[in-house]
Amino acid sequence: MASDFSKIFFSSLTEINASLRKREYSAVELTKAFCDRLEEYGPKYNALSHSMRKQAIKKAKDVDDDLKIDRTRGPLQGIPFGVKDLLAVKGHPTTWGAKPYANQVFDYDANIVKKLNKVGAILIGKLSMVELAGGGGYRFASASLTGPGLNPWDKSRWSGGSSSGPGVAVGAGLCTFALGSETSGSIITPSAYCGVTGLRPTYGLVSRQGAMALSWTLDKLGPICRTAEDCGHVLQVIAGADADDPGSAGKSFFYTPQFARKPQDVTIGYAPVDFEEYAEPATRAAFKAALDVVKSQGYKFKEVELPDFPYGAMTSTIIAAESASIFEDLIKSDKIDEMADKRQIAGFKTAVDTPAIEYLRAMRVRTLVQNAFHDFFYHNVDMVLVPSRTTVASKITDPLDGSGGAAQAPRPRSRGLSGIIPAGNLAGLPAISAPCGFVDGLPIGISFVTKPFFENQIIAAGKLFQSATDWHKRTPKLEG
Amino acid sequence: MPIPRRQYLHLAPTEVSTSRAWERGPHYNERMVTRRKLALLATAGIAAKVALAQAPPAPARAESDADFESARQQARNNFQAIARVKLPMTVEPVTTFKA
Repeated sequence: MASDFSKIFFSSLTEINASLRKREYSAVELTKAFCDRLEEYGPKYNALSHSMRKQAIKKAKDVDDDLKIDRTRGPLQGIPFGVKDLLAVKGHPTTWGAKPYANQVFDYDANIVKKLNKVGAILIGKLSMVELAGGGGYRFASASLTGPGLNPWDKSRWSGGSSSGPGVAVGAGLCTFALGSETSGSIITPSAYCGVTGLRPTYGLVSRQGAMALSWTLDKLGPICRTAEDCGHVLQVIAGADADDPGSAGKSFFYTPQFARKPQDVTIGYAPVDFEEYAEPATRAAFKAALDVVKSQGYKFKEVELPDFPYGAMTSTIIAAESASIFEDLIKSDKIDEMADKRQIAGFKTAVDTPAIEYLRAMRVRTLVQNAFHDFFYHNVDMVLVPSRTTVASKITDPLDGSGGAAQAPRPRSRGLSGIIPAGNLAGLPAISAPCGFVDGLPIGISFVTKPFFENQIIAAGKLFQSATDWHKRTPKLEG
Repeated sequence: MPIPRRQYLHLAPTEVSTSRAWERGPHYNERMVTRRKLALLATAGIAAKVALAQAPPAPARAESDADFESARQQARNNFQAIARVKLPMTVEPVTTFKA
């Protein structure tokens, strides 16, 4: 049953699963087509760390056998996916994107890989990432064992990180969904820059067993997909209590769009200053158009500001202290000098000297942050709407720390919701980023952020937004 | 030819540290190693070794220094920003994240 896969590469997982059940093509055909594409374009966009073709085709045969006897295992059955190369997959290299770990192989699968395997999803490759998830503070996009993640919409632009491979692979149609991780911005940023839909779950909802640790109190794993609905389906499978993850919240997630509250019953907080001043001038019209779409859907809107805390400083201090402890052996060895980004090496070496009192102060202020967000969401609004990133993807040669001499924009009139990425991560809040327009051929995204364990609410908002727009259906023209 | 005693008394001490110095050329005393010079050399050698041992390793590249300074400055700025938040004694560090 030969099929034209050119459209299927950009289909949602629910569409592909429906086609598999109708036998429009087999899981083996589908898997081979995706593996070919991943192996062809993955290296060209620095998205592929390790192809898993052989194992994937074997798994696809099992799926076909199941489908022949109508043994269905849910919407992820037969769906090709990739994982960020910080997740352990038995017998295959797990490099953490860093040269010192280039030959690392684990003899077990990460628990969420096992979960996806159980429902018949097909792992076709391990995807590239910023080395050690960028915990030392990298200056250049090239801070990776596989080179800078190249944006599928423009190869001269960065994909965003640290889940660079998952962002590129889904954006370029090299797999249907991918798993990424976020400590502070690593799912939301590549999702926005690559024009895909990414979901950062509540802290503790998804097990991190088998994943590289960067910060025990901030790390989260989540899906990067084509649509908000796909994120719901993947999250339902990967969420759940896990005794092997000390941070596990002991909760499950069931994707229940049928029980979504009506927009009329939901209050969205937003700050006009985010769209009018924080957003780069070229992006403002597109962001405003996206805001207008959401406003037209019947939600109640309320202007809000973030509680006043030094969110960025806090996440940096917590990541520095925890990552220095996690990677102490590496940092104190010569091996760290093998990493690609000099600023990141210096950052890790400096992090070892973080005083305990500074870490504890950050963690105490974090208590105040969590309390403030509790009040913010329970007495104020149901969720907030913000630009995922206020700029389009930067050029791959541009320094990421603002040392490139770019002109300083005038200070915005108020705080708005800027800083929602570190703030949301400190408070463990879930967020979803959906594509909301293009500027100079590059995608931008908006994010819905809500209170812990209310993923269904933001998925519903993302789905409703995507029912009124087609930004998530646009496909890039890949360069050979 | 012997130097007359009157002139001899005006010579610098190094020039009279050995007998018949005037007969051995103008740079004889500079080349000759005395016990005092040996002691000085030995002390200087030890001092140099100590100094070397205490000196920090030279950076591989000038850029690394800038990277380290940038990382340290960033950390200092972060600590200062966090320290500006007033913390009552009763506020404990976050230990659970079950929101």
